[in-house]
Amino acid sequence: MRTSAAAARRIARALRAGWKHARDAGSALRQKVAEWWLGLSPFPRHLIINICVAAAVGLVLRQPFVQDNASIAAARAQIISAQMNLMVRFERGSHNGPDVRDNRLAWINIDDNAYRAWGVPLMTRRDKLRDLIAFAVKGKPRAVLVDIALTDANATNATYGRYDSTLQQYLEAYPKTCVRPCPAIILPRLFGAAQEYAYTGQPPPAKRALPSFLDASLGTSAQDPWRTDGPVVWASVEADHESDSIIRHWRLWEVACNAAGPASVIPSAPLLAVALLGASPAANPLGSALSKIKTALVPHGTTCARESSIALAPSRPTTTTLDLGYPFELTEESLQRLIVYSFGWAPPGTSTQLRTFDDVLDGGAIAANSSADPTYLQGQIVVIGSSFPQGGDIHATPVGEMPGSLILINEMNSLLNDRELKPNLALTTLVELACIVIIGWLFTKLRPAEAILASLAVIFVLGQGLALLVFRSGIWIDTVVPLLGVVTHEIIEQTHDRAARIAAGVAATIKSRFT
Amino acid sequence: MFHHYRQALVPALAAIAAGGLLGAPVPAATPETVIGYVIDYQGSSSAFAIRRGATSIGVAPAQGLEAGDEVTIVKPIGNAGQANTITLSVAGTYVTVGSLNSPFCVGSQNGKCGAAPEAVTPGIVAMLTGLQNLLSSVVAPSLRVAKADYDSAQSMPLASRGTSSSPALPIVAAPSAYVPADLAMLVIPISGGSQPLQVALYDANGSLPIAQQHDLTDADAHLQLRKLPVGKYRIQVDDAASKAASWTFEAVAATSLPQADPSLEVAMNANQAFVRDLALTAYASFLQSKGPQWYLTAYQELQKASPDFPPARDLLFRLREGP
Repeated sequence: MRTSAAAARRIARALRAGWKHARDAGSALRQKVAEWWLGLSPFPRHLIINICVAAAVGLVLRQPFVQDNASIAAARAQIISAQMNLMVRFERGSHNGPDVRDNRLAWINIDDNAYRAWGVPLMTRRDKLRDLIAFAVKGKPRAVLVDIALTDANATNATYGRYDSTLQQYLEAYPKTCVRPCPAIILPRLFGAAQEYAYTGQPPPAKRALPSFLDASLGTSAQDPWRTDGPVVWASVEADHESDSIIRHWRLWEVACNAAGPASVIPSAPLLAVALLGASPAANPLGSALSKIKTALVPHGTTCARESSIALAPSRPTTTTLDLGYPFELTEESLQRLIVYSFGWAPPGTSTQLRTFDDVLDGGAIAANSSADPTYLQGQIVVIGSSFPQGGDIHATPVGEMPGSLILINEMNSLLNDRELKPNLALTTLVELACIVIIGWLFTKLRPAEAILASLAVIFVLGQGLALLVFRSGIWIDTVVPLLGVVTHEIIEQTHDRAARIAAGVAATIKSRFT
Repeated sequence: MFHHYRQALVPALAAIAAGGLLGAPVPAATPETVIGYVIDYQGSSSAFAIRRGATSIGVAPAQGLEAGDEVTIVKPIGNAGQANTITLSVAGTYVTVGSLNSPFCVGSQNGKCGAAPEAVTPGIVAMLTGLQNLLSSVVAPSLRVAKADYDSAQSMPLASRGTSSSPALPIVAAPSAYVPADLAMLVIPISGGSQPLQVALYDANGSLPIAQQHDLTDADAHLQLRKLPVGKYRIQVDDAASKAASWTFEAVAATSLPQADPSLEVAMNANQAFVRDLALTAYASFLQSKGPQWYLTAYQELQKASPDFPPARDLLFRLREGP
């Protein structure tokens, strides 16, 4: 007992001695740091404080509540629009640039002249559409993407009904009549609000896939996107509808609630088309592409319930990977879903400073001349779409108005060339630090008003300039957060200076009173 | 001491919560009774209703909510086809009310109406709730989170229009459409819908049609009239798929029509078909230039021209498309 008490005392003494030693070493270090700090001239001292504050501010600004803030998201969207616009202007005429690899995309455009010549107001004649599909298929492309709604039948009059039948009969017979390997025909599946169902664990509304008058004859179903009896398949052609109606984000899949239970996950037409380009043409390219996409997309699905419930939705990954010749990330992240526009559009009779997409065939001329040569289309993805205003498919984009078909072509061009935007934390941090250091220096050397102007110039030239340079390679440098960081930092700095001046004033007053 | 402080603070918070300082048009509520507030809504404010007892309250961000308030979606789908939803914060929890969980009763279990409201905590907790509401109503707009949910985010198809499944009259799409009074035949171009169509013309107050055409299988309805008097009219189209739609127009005196040059009027009655067709097309084009409200009149004028006259045919096509 006595022995153990003595041992405890010895241990306590040793600990006290150790603690004293550590304290002495700590105070020596503190003293050395203080001496070093006091020995510094004001500029490096200011700089070090700036960098510490910037690091703290940067850490706070990277928190989700700041990153997901609507105002910051809106500012980012504006900056990205401006960058995209500048990029498309810079790249005008440089068709050999790194982003445009080859001519794997073509567009059969139904323009205003064709629409008027076909003589049916407010829609695309489906017998003419059949002619265009037949023309494209003869060229042995990898896929034909039809970008014209085929949801409702035309029962307005008997003539229009005959146009529908012409297309329906052609597509129905296509699996038997096509020359193998049959080029895939991708038709657009549209979506509406699901009135009866909701995604489990989420507020209403959910979406439902709209059935088409062609489903029965093609053996396809709005509820089962993976069911196809042949080379005709349906896929979504949706984009995010933003508050300013500018199309910025692609949607590479849709989740539809047509019934209770597991939701249908429907791939987008551009994704399917690009996967088809990568599939081996020897076997069943459509089957292989669909199977690959299904594996990558199904984890993004959820379940549907008849009522909105508080039940938890099944957990699902935020990102899955699809092999598109490179590992492509399928993600819900808004930044990575940005469409990198490489092509602008000049409506007929106008000119544009943007680079335009040149592989455009005149739908009206093709429909009028059945002997046109389609061999040019071999191995390509052919989009059949319209640009006549009454088609209701002209949309605003960051690089100006353009038809929906051309937006899909821009999407496919991005997918083909690995131009999915990815944030780069290292470069963003570097830009942020560089801005802080330079601006800190500017505020040390210049008067405040001059320093603010010079700071803005630095952010623009360094941040935006570098961002624009790497933007072409699919790297996104967030200049909004560094900008906010700089502003916040300067506010802290100014407040700190002011507080220090007030404290010094108070101290001086007290000192003068007592001396 | 604290009691006095609380006595002074509670009315101040109540005044702020009632919109006195924030300027929001909210009804009087006290921190003791406010247990939630409106965060945000998708769609027009008129698409939602909040009832407190027998009183209807306007919908606005930061609107205070009391136990028993009933939040209803009046119009589930917006004009752009999007689903209207309203997001509330109730007792610190966010709730999105859509058509499926409407009406939502604030304070009741699971938001179901008819269930007993949960007891509202009095005293300091209620005061803190009021303070939280106040802070949130000031801070929430600037800290609003960008809509991140992928599945239910609004989207739009990038596809060209196929057809209209419901009957449509694009030519009378303008807020007002006019035709000359005294017409003996009214020709109306109809798009979409499943044929055969039933077309009926009613005057403004009538429930019996003044003209009708049954089992229409043509793109144009031809309604025989006995000199259409000046006044307002309604056209109703019913299709074979039981879809119905109606539009209104007004018959106006000839003097109210945009007047053509007298020489053009002479040419419109010329004996030579070419001159007459050219003048009629020119007059219809002139009417078209006066605005969409005159498209239906222009369409009537072009009926007098030869259907084989190419400029008249082109103009008919453009008028059918509407504005």
